[in-house]
Amino acid sequence: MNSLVRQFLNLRTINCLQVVHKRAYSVTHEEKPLATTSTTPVSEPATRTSEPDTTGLYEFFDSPDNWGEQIVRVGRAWRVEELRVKSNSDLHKLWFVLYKEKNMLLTMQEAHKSECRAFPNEERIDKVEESMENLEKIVRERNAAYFKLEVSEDATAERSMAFRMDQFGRWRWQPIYEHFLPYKVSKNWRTVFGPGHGKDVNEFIRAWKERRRNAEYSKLKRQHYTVRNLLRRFPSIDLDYLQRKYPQVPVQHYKDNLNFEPEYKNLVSRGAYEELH
Amino acid sequence: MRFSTVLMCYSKLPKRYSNFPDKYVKKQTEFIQWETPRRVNYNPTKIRWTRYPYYDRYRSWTQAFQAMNKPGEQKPRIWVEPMERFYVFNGDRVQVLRGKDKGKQGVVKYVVEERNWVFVEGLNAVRTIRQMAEDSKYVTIVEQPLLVPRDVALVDPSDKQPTTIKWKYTETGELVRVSDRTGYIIMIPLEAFKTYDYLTPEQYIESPKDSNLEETTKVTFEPVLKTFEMDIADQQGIKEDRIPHKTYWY
Amino acid sequence: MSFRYYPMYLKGNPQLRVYLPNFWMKLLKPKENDPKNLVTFKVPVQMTDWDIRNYLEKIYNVPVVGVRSQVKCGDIKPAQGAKYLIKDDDYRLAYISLPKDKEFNWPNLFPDKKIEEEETEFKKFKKAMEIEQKKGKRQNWSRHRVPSWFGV
Repeated sequence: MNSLVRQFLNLRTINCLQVVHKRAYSVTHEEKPLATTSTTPVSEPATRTSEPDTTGLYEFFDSPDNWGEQIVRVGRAWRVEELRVKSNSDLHKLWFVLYKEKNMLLTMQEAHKSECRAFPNEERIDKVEESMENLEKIVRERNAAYFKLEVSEDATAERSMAFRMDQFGRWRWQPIYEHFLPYKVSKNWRTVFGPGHGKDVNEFIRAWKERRRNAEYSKLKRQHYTVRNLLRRFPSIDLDYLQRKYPQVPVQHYKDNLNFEPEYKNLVSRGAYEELH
Repeated sequence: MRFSTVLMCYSKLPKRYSNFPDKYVKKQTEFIQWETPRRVNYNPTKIRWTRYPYYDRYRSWTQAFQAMNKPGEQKPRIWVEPMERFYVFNGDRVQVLRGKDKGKQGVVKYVVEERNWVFVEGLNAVRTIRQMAEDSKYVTIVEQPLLVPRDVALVDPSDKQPTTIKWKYTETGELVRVSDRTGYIIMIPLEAFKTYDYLTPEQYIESPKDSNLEETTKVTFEPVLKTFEMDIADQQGIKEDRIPHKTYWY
Repeated sequence: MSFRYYPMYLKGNPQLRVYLPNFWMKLLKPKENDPKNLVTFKVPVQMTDWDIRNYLEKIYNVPVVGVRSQVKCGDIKPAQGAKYLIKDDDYRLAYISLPKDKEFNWPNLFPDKKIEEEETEFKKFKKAMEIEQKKGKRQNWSRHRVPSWFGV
């Protein structure tokens, strides 16, 4: 399909409830979860005499009490357990509160940046993003349950993955895409994204496997090196935990037959052997 | 410019109880020089200027830490003894086993878990005398770090002697520290649970944007045989009878 | 079917709807000569004009008369501590025109009172630091006001 036509047709509309004035920040507290942020409309700034016409745009700013502040304290993010007991409509309302809060924070951050000022409590953005991720997780969970009940045991609400060969001849899990034409008919797609074959692909696979093998080998060597050094520096180290952390390294063997002199003389000459830890 | 707040108070914050989200703390220690845009046509890669951050007594979100780890600065590799669970907390009573204050007992003031370091109040400190005016002098005391298994041991409260400990589960399922010598349970002090935002969770003061405890714990979930989208569409009175065109997934 | 993968559209299909919109929008400070009813936004490149209009009308209840937008190249700058250049993400600048009788004024986000407080605090801090530095420089504080030949 022509891309222009597709762009014209593929219009998306937002379905949004009239957001009620409800506090939606997630909780920051250890015991009391924080709501995200309040959705109450921002009152008029004191400097303006005439009434602003576009009240909606002032939701992009923080409340006037926080302007120029050095510290703005809020609670923690919404947790998954707290969101799981909420109804769909509550989650939908909360999403818009979180969305508005995120836009507000990004706008304020940009404004502070342009004025060369430090933005107070940047971690607020991370808190809001975390709660949005958690909310999406819950929605996905509910949709998956519906698909399992109504469609089949294996069906999920997610886009499914396929284990197949890619253009470079590697076998891997790939996300699948939606098409108007069946696989047999769409020859163009197959030539571009279908499984690769031929001399070049074989050569690439050989080099790729060699490189992967080398990386694994060097990783193992590095683990041996660290275990030897740790045993030298800390004689009373917990061997069980060390073995669990590095399962491929023979820890007990090293402990029994290790030469306890430092491996590199440079370290000793720098005086770092004793002082580094 | 938060000079008073940022520069003066940062060193009092323990890392675990700073109340920052993990994502924010991780950002500070990743040192990303360039990251590919999150699109389909990019192979996701991150270019970092250091793989192993150099930890000192400064917390990772402070300016001092960032200045220490700035690009071009080369730091020696640090060997840290791997521990399954770090066992010294703020407010613990410990005995110093090494150095000029050997044999003295004190209270832990500050902990750096990344290097197994502990700072004990008034012990193993460097004192410098300084003069403000002609008449007045004052002494600054800067505590130096003590390495945990080697230089410091926890004090058993029953006989006030240094012991080694083990983590064990009680019958109620709590994880506690048990003294090896006497079998006495060493409780974790209350000071360890202190955070930047509150001393204890009950003392937290809600900001105007926080939601109540009632609001957050209220159960409003009603099981319906609908997806999220179907439920919202029904509530808003959206009706859709058109059948979508057939598509193929591959 | 999937969560963030919108289904393909063909004429006659049901209307595609977004229940959890997630494009970020940043409101930018207007320039000096901009008309009062013009608002500038920074949005991701993937957002279309239709999306921008929809987001503003449905979420923020802002009456929108017209939307124009252009894609801008992200900043290109030398990397920290390296000899190559790196480029920020591209973004889209959206110019929204409000109805003629409406206007948008950028509020004063940094009130003078707060700035004064900050400056006084900064001055205090600077003074304290200067005193500290002076103390560090004076090595033999115990021989203060004693002539230098005394110890010889």
